[in-house]
Amino acid sequence: MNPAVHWWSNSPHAPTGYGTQTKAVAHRLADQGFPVSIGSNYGLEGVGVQDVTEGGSPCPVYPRGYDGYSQDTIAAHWKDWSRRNPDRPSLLVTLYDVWVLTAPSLREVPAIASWVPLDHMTVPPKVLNWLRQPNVAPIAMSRFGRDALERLDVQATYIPHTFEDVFRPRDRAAADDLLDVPQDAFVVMMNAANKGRAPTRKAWSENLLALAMFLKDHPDAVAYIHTEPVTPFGIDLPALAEAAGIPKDRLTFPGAYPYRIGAYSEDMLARLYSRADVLLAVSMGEGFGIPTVEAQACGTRVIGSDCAATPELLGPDSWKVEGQPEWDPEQGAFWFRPHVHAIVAALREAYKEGGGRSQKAISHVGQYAAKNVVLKRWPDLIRSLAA
Amino acid sequence: MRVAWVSHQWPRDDDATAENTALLPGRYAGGAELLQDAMRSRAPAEIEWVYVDPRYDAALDALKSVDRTIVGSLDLVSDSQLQTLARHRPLVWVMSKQHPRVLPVLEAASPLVWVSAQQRLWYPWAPDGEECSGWFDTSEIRRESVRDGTALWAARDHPQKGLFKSRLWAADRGVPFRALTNRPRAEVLDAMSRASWFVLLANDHDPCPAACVEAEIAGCEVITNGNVGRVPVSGPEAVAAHVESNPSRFYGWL
Repeated sequence: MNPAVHWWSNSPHAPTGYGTQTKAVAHRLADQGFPVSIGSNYGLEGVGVQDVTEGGSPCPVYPRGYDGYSQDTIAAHWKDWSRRNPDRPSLLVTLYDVWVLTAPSLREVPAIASWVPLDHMTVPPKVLNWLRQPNVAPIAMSRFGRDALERLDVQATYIPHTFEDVFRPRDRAAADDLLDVPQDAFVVMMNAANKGRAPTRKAWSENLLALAMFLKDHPDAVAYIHTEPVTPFGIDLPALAEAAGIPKDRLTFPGAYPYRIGAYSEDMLARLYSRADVLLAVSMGEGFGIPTVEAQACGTRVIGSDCAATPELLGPDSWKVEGQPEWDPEQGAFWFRPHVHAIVAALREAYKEGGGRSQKAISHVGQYAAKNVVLKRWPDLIRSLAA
Repeated sequence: MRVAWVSHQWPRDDDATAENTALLPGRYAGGAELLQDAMRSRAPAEIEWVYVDPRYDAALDALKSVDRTIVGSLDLVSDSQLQTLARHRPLVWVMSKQHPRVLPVLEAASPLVWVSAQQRLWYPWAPDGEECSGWFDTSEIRRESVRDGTALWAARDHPQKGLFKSRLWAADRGVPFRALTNRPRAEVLDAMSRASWFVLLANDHDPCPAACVEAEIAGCEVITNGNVGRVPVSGPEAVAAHVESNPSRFYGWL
């Protein structure tokens, strides 16, 4: 008998990294006969439990709590789902930053599997403390994370994040309706959430300063940043771009309103990746970094940080950027601060090689295809851990 | 020779069912009770035991009439009793977690005997000493030549014993996992005789769990983490010989 799974993360219809991975796993498990419910920490609010179907069997989604990280409801939702499946063992899976898991009631949950992002150069103490709890099984989403935990004597297993088949190479012209740039322009694309001010984990200032220097020397190059340019919880990217010296006609963003209402589908994103000549995905640290594999699945090479999960995601013909440690006093661990000159150098290399479709990149990220990962790893693991 | 054994960790009088599954079934609540009783059972014939339970205020008065003192546990020894105990220069052989308040006794010990090298490292404030993991009957441990490919966990049902992390170890490798708790020793030894791995990824310090020693003698590959102490030798025969040699070394320190 398959265990009952309560999956705590973002809603499967939320267009975020956690949302896409929730969708990738939860519905596939439901298709296999696992009773799966989803506790939404983001994406469903102020309503009752909703059945959500995202290309698979429906999963009931419980709404978020009043607490900023739903700590007031996380254990209650798990308990409710367990009661609805009284004859089955159960497992609570968390897919989110684990340092937010502070609810005392979580101690009463017998079996918790935490699919954990480790995005610092070192493991933050709060993260370590959670993963050392007797009722917690850590699932690292990167080999880097698994090895970092192993060095701290914490048993973990490794299951990577994944991408769907929609991310495949498209014709370069397939994004003409989405991106108003000259046909022969060299397009540098970024795809990163504009979230967070101190720190700005996506290293916006380093990336945009580097873009400014690169664009100045390469008049046929443009930048496209797939994000909301101004948000109340992020920074004013147009202001930063202006301060960095990027001419307005050399940098574009998606339409603000279509972006806000979720009109950019995964198919459109795949077309944008396919048009890009390189994806600039340098940051201060990634727990995984889904755009890095999505872009390569579309044949587009990536410039990423030589830090945390990113190096293992980069194919042999992508570019790693050096940086230096920077102390994160909030987490008690080191971030990675990328060097601007190293980003510029990588952009110049990418330009010199002229973009184009990379078969090496496509081959490298095949290991992260959802069809190659989800059902090979999750069902057996859940059956092993449920209590 | 009259020798006092100071401890609060004593065997039960009968084989009554344990109060809960966090305790071992039978006469011993846990490994400390078992190891101390087993070591006493291997004492030279000339030793006459005087049992001293520090939970009774005047218990240490008995030390005035003994030739030597062995301390098996300091957990429930009061601060004033610690001073008294130190003056007797006891052989100290402790299994539980140690608090710096017991330092006077550890420094006065003659000798201080750690259960494992790992245990010694957990208390950098304490003196060095000898090492003795204890004794149990190794003749009951069988070893099959053909292993069954399973990973075995066998321990008290206590969070310290790391059942969930051990289960994850097996799942990570795609290995069938078997958990035994609150089961008779014969059943555990039978499972050990065939299991390919014995896994104990403890969540807290476990100085030298007998189950790991038994499993190694039974031919399992023993998987532990830094919270688990081990004997200083490896391989079934060497470990068995080490266990059998422990009583003579231990009583040699008297």
